[in-house]
Amino acid sequence: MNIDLIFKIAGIGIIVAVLNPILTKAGRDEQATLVTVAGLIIAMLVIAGEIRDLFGTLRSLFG
Amino acid sequence: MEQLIRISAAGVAAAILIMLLRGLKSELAAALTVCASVLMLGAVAATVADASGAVADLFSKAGLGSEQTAGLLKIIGAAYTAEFASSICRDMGETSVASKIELAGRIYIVLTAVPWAVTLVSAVKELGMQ
Repeated sequence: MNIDLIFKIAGIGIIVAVLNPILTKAGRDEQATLVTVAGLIIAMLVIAGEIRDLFGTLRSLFG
Repeated sequence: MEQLIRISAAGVAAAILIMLLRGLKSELAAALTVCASVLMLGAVAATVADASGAVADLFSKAGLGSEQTAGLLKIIGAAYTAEFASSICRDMGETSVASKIELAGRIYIVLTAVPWAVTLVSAVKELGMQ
């Protein structure tokens, strides 16, 4: 089990949550939205590989 | 035991981080929930894979054929998979999608078990004939 992934996604979340109000305060609302979307996409990419591995394990385990 | 402690610690750490993230960015908190449950179930599945040979041995000692053993394992796997997917959907607040996944799992399990039920009914019928 790779616990680093949990911390990685939490880190992405915290970075996005810090950057968002800064960009909004600077009057760059579009970039704030883009940062949120980018963080979400990176997290989803990380998770997608893990989900594929998990379902592969389940398939090989239970047939 | 070490694996259990590791999974429990990962769960607690993930719960704290999810609680932290929910206040900041709730979408990423949902992503973290999915990641944590996938990793933990993956770790459990890897442990079960080591023990599956012993379980198959137990089934064959109980007089079950390899076909029935495979079917039973398939049903157990379907139950776990459907439960896992539906609980993730429920965590994200999509209860209706979760109930559809559960329905699909139930239907799959029933369809897998129907041939055995037919065998059982015909065996009972033969007993009645005698």
